[in-house]
Amino acid sequence: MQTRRDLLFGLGSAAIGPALSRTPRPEFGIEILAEKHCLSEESAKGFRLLDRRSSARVIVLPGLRELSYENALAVRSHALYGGWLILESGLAFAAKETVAWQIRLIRDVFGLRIREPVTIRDNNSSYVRYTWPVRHFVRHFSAITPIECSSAERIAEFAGVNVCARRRVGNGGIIFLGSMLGPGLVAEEREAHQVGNVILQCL
Amino acid sequence: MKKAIGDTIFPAGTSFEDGLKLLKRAGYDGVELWLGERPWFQMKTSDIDVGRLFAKVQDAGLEVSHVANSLDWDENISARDPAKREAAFRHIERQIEAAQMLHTDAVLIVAGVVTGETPYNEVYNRCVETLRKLGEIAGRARVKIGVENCNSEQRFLLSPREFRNFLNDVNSPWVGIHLDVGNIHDTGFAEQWIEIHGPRITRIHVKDVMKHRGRCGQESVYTNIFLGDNNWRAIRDAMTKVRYDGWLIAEMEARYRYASDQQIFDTSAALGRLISGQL
Repeated sequence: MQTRRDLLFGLGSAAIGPALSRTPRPEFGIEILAEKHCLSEESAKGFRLLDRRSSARVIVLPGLRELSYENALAVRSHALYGGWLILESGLAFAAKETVAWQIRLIRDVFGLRIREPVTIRDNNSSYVRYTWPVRHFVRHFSAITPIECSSAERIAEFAGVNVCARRRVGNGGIIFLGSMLGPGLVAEEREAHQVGNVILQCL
Repeated sequence: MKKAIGDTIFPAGTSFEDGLKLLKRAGYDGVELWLGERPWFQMKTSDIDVGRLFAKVQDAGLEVSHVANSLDWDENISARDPAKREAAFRHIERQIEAAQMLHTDAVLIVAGVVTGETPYNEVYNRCVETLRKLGEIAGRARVKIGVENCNSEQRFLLSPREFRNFLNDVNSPWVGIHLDVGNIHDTGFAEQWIEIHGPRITRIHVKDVMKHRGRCGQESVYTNIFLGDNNWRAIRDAMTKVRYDGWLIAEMEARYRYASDQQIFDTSAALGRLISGQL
């Protein structure tokens, strides 16, 4: 039987496949698995800037555009065993056909109901409003991936649309970010750092 | 110093060959080629056709001052959309390749466009990171990347010290500044930019600017050389001070409404006066 250690080790090699590159941070219990495109790599760089003080094992999937079923199941197992996943959507910059099957995959594997990315022009605000783990405004990243919160708890909204949520999965859980946080971390956005750091501390 | 002007100045309907002849008659030493602007030099233009462009430039008795591009405004290395960012990387790579084929050692790019949606710090970091990679490619090709100061249009790198810090962060001997003395508007003085950047200046764009006019809609604040508010004696002295002896390339954004070829001759004469220092 596969152990939790085997699973985590596998994430960095065959199980996760060639599309993701691993940045192991075992001392902090956080791993960042970036896809091979500049959006994901930029966001990964941002997440690496966080303090990474988390007592949980956390896997961050930054700027996701094309997660395979195999990889999705592997990271879901990580959550079932008590770990946390941070799924950051990069779907706004994916091909339309990719978006359709990614929406299905995220529903089937993680139980999250996300919708097609949209660009919202809100003249009243440029900011995503986080209500958990801290109340903060963080700059939105152009297009957002909305999420229905019937099976998940909303943690942020933009212009009245739910954009970030968290959901328990097994002994762990998933945090879905429908507006990218990582680029704001690279850009030294103070509130983005506070949100990111406190999320990790809360897990 | 040598003088050039862009192929964008060729009057409408003029062929590449006839445009070059016009420049030669007007006394220019070279031509600035704009990738993506005129039909003869596009991303799809093959290596063979770029070679043919070079042959035509030589036949006209001219040189290529450098390779510019008009694509950066739509596809910038600072874009959030990775497809646009990658397209920008590709067209700059192509500029570098073309520069080698055209026997010149510099390219002009616009790095970073700050908008209400894409904030300053994001643009800054993305540009530094991408220019480090492009600097390596440029170094292998022995072509310098000149990052133009389009201050007001970019809303980016608005002071000479900030631009210097930016180049320090990029930290590549193959990435410098393509200084446009007309782009500084009311935020500073071109001669001070020349002093501060000195040996990092890859090329100098020349036009005049009407200060204290603001910039409303499509109304241009740019004008012909010697007609605006630039301090041309100070600019010329600063060039001497930093020993700039390279290309001066006229970039006439405000165009003659009639007799458009006349602007080519008038601009050449003005560049001649600037070079000679008879001001």
